Amino acid sequence: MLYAGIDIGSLTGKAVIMKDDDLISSSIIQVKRNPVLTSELVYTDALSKTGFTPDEIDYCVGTGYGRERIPYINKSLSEISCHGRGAFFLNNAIRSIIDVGGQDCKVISIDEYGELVDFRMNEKCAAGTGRYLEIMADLLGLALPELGAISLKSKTPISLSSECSIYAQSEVLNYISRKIKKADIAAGINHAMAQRVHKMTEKINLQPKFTITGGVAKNVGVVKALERLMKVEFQSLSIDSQLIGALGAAIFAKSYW
Amino acid sequence: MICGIDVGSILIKAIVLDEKNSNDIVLQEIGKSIGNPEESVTTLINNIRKKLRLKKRDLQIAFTGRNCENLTMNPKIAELNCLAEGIHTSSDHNRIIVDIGGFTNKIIKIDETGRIMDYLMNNICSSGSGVFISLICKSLGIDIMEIDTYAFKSEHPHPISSQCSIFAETEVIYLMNEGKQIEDIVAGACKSITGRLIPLILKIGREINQVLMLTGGLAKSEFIKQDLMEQLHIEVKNPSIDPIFTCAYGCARSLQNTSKEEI
Repeated sequence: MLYAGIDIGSLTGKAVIMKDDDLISSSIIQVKRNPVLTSELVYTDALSKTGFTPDEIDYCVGTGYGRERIPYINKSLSEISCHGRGAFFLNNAIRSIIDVGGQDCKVISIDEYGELVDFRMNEKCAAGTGRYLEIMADLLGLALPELGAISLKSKTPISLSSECSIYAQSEVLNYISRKIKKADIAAGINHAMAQRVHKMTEKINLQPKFTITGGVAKNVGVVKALERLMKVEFQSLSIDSQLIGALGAAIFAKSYW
Repeated sequence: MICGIDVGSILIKAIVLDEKNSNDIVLQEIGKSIGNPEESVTTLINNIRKKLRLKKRDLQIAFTGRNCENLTMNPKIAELNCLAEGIHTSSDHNRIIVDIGGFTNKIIKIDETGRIMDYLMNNICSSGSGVFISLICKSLGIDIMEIDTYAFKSEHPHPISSQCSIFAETEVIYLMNEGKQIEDIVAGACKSITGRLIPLILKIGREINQVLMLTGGLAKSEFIKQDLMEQLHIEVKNPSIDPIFTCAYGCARSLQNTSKEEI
């Protein structure tokens, strides 16, 4: 049997194709003009690596912020459930998932069956989301993936006092104009980001083990800072952290078929 | 001469008064505060002295504003006091000041002597302040000075659902792609500003039935002014001086008062 999970986020579109219990193909693309186009392109890309056609897919579940606009899915589900399910599938010891996406941040608690227990979500404020890091990387003239690695070189990180991305942006500009090292600024940015996510994790009861998913999980600076703040160690997952929502959707597809 | 410099989050505003000539405004200057305020302020002061051919000791300066904290220069006067003094000394019988700044909004209630009785300020989040509109204008590719021209043409203002300035910036691109009219988006953005201000104004000035003084960068927008008037059923005015210089003006006047006291 063939199943597909499609996750249309604010900045990227993700697709996962599963054959029975195995992930056989996936794709991550930047969002296009509209969710419809993104969802079609990412699906075609993932399928092209398998040789299957859309008609051969038995069931397809959509998730993410653009899920209602995906034309070809059989069902849509919230990304909260999908992230929980995807992470649990990869490691069934996981009870807490921190997903930091392009424009939101979710803290999810699941039980020993992978069912949702509680969650918190911030989609109102850019601080504590991938968008914050994107803005800051841009100010520093760095590509987003460089922000994590460079911060590890810092010995004297700066500290940012503002929460608001706009205020923090002006603080960072001030540090740049004072010729402070990029590594120190990057470390301060990653720490501020982790602090913000940490605050959200304190709002619900989270049990070990923990994992972090979404694009921001690729920033080693934020991950390390958050581990220090939460005093936990994150379990690493066997697939790309951005695919967990789509994977969860594909697993739901199997259960709905 | 006496000079007040308001080092705001986005702009630096300087005003020079001639204290020997009934406090006439001799000069108004604007600079950018983003990046290194210390440098920008120094340049601005040098320009002022050059333009007015003033020796260092002939220009007394005081500083205020959100970005003046890190300046090495002194003296500094609290921003709220400067706003209060600016309105008190430039306009009669006004008790509520609504300042739409670059990064923050402030509502101040003063008594008839200009003393601050109450105030509200949001300095945690930039939503609903000048930068909110300025980012939206940037996305729409229009000049912030044009907001009235667009907003008044709108028949169906389209609400901006994002509170966050950063998210609003991308939301309007999406709205444009959806075929929404620029004028409706601009009017909606202005209404976001008034929508954030009104609850704060009501909190402070519920019982006050007087003219509301609008100051700050967005105070010149007739659309915002009219929208406030319609929703609050109260008269909204600008001070007699340029509203963006209110705080700088108040800063100069406060400096003058302290100098007098010292003498």
